Amino acid sequence: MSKIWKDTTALISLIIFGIIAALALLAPFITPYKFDEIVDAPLIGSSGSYLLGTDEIGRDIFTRIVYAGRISLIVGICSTIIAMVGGVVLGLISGYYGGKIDTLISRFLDGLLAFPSIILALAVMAVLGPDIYNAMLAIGLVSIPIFARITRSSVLTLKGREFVEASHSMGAGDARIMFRVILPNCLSPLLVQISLTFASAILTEAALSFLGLGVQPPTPSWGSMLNAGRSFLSQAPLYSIISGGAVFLTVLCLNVLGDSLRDLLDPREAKKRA
Amino acid sequence: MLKLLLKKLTELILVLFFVTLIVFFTFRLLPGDPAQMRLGMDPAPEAVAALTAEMGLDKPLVVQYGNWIADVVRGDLGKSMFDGKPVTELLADKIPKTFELAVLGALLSIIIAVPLGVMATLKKNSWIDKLARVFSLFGFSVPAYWLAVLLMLLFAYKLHWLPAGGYVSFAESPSAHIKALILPVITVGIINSAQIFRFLRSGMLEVISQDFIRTARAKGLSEWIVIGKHVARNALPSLITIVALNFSLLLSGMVITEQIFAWPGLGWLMIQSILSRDYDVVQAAVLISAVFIVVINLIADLINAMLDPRIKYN
Repeated sequence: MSKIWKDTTALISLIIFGIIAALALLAPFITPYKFDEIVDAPLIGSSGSYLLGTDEIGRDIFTRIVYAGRISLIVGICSTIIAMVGGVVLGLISGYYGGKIDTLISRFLDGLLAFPSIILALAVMAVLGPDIYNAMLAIGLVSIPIFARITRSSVLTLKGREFVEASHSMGAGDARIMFRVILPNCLSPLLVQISLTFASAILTEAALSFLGLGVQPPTPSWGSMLNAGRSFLSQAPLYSIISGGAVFLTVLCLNVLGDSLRDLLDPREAKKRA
Repeated sequence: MLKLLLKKLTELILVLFFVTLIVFFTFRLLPGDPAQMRLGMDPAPEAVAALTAEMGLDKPLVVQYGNWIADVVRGDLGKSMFDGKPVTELLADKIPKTFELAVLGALLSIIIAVPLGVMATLKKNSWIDKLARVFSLFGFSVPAYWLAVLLMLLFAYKLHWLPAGGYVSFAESPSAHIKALILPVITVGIINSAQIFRFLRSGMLEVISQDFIRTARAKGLSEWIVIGKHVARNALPSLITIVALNFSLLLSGMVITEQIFAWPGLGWLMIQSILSRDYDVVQAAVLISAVFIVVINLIADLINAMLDPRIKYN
């Protein structure tokens, strides 16, 4: 029963996320206006021509929400890739070579982990300046340690196994063993982490934009729209509610998917938790 | 215990070394010449050269780092660009305000998460367990800024029960102070409790599946004694670790919560300083939060070692 319930929620999440992704992908064909086009008077309520009303300078909120989804997903994907590549490489090196290199890398990662993630991302944004590429970099950077740790612990358990020794004895080099022999065998925890990091990257991007340090206007972002709507909470509460709700829904779907992916790939752990 | 303390302290120093390195080199990446920035528009080249020498910016990076660390250890975190006040003075004013929110938020999250975690474990797969898991998923996914706005809409704009933000000191008006605290504490507390609940539940389920619990039950002890005594004592170390680890998340959430509710704490100061390009203040705020997290985790490790003599941290 519980399994069916779980599968249903996962399926619904997948469908909702698919819709969000499709909307973002097809934004120019779906939206009735341009995202930076002033179409009417500011802060008109929702109506036939403006599904969610207009924003503080008279742009269509629905159009901007859809375009902002594009930004969120792009930043999410790119920063997850940065985190994954950086983390996997560091984790492989640290776990495979061990010794001093491992200590050095591990303590460096501990150092990175010591920073509350938003604070570190903010520091990077403060230094590099607010724009979308720096946001990707900052968010990717703060998620490197978790990927590195997961990879490292997988490498440590795999390193001594026969198939690794076998390829070693056949003359495979370190790089080949790390990337071609060990890496494919630690993919499943990484896959789960990818979906969770994707979710947290979207949250962080919206947080940075909310604080005015992420995506810059006139490009819409769910975070900056929520912030703009905050000044008009009593006149147009829907503006903020929808912008934040979009972040919430996307992140919720990704978290549900991450959870069921974990159950799927690691049935033993799932049994313990269920 | 002493050996453990020594081992942990050497680890701490190594981590702090990397923390300072990360902070130092991140802020070294700032575009432009710090001396020139400090002097404003079109300064005389001689003045720039003089200030560069005075700030030690003409020395090798290693020396610059060494000088900076020496200053930090002496409690000199630089000066604010605007009023020239020492950064430590600014921090001393803001940190207690953040601390108040953080501690109350952590307390609230424990008050929510622990009973929920215990009930969910006791009645695994019951409706209360399912409800608690839905709540935790919600807490995991809800952005702090959205939750804050929703709370504000309901309690400040609709019901007019609480202020939408702002800070009133306790000395000024105790009741206004408490009223201003409620919404930020709830925001921080709910998000944090979701995390604590999740780890607590899996930690307790792991303890509960062990042999000594089966023995305790076989002896005929009531379920409450089994949970209250045997499980709780063994799950406590993981709870302490989770709460400590979560302080990092708590501080992240705090930056946003403080900004929304105009609560003038460390996070608020940090955002203001970033927007006004007051880098000494930003640098100090980043450094302080990381040091704080490292120390909190050390304390949690030590408390755990005291509670459970089996912990050796090898």
